[in-house]
Amino acid sequence: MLFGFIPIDVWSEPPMRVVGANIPYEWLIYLIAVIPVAVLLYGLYQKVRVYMAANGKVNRLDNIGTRILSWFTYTFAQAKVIKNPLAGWMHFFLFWGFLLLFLAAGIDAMHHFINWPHLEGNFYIGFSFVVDTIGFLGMVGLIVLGIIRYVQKPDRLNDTKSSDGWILLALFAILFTGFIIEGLRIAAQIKMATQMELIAYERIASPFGWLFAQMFVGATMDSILIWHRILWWVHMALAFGTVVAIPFTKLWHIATSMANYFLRDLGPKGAYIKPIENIEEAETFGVENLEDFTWKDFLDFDACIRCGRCQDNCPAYLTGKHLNPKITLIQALKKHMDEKVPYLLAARGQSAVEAEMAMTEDEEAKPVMEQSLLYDVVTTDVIWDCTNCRACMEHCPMFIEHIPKIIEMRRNLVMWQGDMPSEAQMTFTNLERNYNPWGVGWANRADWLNERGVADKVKIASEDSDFDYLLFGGCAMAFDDRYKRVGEAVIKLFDQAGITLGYLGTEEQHCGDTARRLGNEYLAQTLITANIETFNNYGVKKIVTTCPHCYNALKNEYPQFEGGQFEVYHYTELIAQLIAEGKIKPQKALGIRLTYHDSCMLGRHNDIYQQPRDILAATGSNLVEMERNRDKGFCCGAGGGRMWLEEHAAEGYKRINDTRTEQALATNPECIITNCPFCLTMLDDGVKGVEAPVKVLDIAELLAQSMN
Amino acid sequence: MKIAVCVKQTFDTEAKIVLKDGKISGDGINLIINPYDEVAVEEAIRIKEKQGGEVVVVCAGGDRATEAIRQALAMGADRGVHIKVNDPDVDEYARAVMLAEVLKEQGADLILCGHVAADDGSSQVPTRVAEILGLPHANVVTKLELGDGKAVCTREVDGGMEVMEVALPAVITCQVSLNEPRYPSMKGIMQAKKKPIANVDAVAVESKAKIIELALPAAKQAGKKIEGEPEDTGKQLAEWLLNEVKVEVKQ
Repeated sequence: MLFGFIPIDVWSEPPMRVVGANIPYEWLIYLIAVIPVAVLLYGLYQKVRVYMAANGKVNRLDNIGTRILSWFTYTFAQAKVIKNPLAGWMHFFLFWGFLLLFLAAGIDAMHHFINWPHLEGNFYIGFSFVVDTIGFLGMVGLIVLGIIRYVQKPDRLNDTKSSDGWILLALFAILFTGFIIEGLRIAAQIKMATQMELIAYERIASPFGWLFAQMFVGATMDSILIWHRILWWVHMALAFGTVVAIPFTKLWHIATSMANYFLRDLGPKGAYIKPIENIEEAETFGVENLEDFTWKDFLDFDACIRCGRCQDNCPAYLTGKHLNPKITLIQALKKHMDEKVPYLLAARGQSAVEAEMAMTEDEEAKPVMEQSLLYDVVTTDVIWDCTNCRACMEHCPMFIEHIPKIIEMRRNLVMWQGDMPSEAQMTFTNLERNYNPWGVGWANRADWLNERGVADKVKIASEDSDFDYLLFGGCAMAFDDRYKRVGEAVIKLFDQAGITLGYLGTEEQHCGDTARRLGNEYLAQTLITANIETFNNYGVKKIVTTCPHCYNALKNEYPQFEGGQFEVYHYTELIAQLIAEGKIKPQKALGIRLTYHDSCMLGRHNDIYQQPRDILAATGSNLVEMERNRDKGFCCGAGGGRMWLEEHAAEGYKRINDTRTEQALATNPECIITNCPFCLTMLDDGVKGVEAPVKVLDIAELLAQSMN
Repeated sequence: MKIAVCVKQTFDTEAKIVLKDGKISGDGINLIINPYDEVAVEEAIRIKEKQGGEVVVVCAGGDRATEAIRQALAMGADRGVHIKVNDPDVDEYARAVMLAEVLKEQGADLILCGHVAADDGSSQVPTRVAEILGLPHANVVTKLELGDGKAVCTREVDGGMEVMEVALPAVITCQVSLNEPRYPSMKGIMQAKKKPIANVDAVAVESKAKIIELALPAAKQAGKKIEGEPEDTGKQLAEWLLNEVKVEVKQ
């Protein structure tokens, strides 16, 4: 059939579809297909070269089994994508539509070469039905996605580019021409059929093709056949053209998403900050230049599809700060990568600046090689704005790891450039000299026990190390007058439940969270190793914390260090269990209307959402949720070490804590409940400015109220 | 320009002071650079960064004083001179003589110091050094501008400020508002390990004054709570004020 073609049959028995019917030179398509495949492979090669230009090291080839499962789940079930229901499901249809149609085309091609598999009979009808339906849903998906982007225009899509529209249009055109040619083919079959029953199986096999066919049955047979041929080639041209575009447009996310699902950080959610190994001997600290990032970071830059879910949940962006995880972080880095890496690659053998001089034509532009990553590309404002709330990472459908990049850049600013906000400097000095960010003398760390009258209810480890749990109270419990009352409530609750608590007293040091998240890894490791040594000195196995920052550090970060493996609980986990076991029995229902603020460290970093709510329920209170709760909870503004930094709010914008307070007050509560000393401080500050008599309490304080 | 900075190692300002056998116990106490001297180090480094030169840190103290010198070097000073003084009770006179001896040898164009030490607070040493070396002296400076062979110093005076000019070399003492000392980066700390510290013996000199006794401030008294009916509590309060606080009542 080199020059001729197979005519369209009226009908087949058993039901099937002849591939390439009515298309002269149909075989040419298999020759032409070499072009998109070659371009795709070339693009892949170029991209891998780009990613390999990164110098940072990271191993993401451990636990292959888990990785395959992750790849499978997030690719084929689109498990992260559908977290945003409307756009997510539309994308699901689009994804499956193209996947199945591509598979169907592949099966057709296979059949062409090896005459197998045979798509016929009921199998043909079923397979065709699924493909036809999902293809149509894909088309619906594209329309809805277009409406979202161009009509609804949500803020998260605030950087729409013309290519976004062209790609939507191209994808739509592929599906649309596909249905038209199917419709034309069926129309031809209908016109030729002497009896409708003969072709009736197509109504089931291709229900949407059948609908399209109804538009053409009135046309002459000749024009149907001619248009069928023309549009078949147009369809193929569109499809191949789009494949060619994959490596050079946002369609590359097809590859990067799957790569990221496979190569993501498999560790616990709260363990994304990695230690600098052998820090005493280290010669570089953090990321100063683009190439100091790892290949995984580069892959992340390319994986960003600009869906804006990060920005939709970012407290810095939503209150008008410089940081926008999509635009001023990841996309800024992607642009820099795309611009700089060609020079880095060209520079092998000659200096990078020379390479750029040789390659650049525009003499006016600031040379990419001279742009500073920290000061020109990302900027220090952006780097310091982040509260480490993890909302971006929680909601990113690509598993992009935003915070580790921020931390790496902070590490370089602090430990190498020596450039940091002066408040950070003072915090470090306080931590160095007195092991707490307040800078109160370390020898006073246990004084609060007497102040709050609970000294007889805990055992000081140096005097008696026989206890059920070690209470790691953290710096706030020791030095923040407001939070000392929470410490008192927690200790009394455990005492009432008959559980013995130990306490390190003056031997306890800051958990490391503030130092680490502000980029001072050296100081953080000094504090962490000191605490680990003290724990092991007293044979500590089980630790209960109150501050969620301590909790995350001890639970998820200490195991990164030698001897740092302990059983770590947040007090809400234990108290919820003690209530369930009847060992803590609330005496009266409080009947208070309250709202609950999920701290980022307990919530998004450790998925503890339910236990605190169970405790609130046990107090007989009436919980009214804020609009942003659980994994969408809005940060108080104090995370990532920002508790100790000034918040420079631009004119017309609110502070993060005031914004969160407003969200809480919108539920009209008598009481705002928190589980974190930083949140407590921030929200307490927030309600000071308002008239309404709203109290901010820790969960433990509320429970204590219902105990008496 | 060669700048010499005198630094003293003091107790951390938040340290809990405990007396043992009439002396301050050093157990568990962190030692730091006197915060006022830290400002002097920072100022010297800023001058060097602006116009070039060398910053020499001079510290008189025991073995642990090396830590203070290293920290100044990590901030950006170029080298250190450690005058070994093992007796912590040397007085300000003896200290000034020891420092002056080394400073004379160094021959700096500018000598910077903190205006007071956070521990004993005597504010004597820099002034004595200036006197011994016969150099011009400006105290408690909040702004320092260097000109050709001279320094223009803005000083805090009661309720206002004074601008004075001194010829260089001079001894200038710094107030904390002069600048904000930097936090040493790891780069600075690594470089500091390679910077030289010269150990010199102190010149033999007898103290002229000696400490006889040290005492801690009296512990804060707990508050007094008066309970009862208003007429009763009023009476109790008045009696307490009269008899125990000993308020004088003017007729």
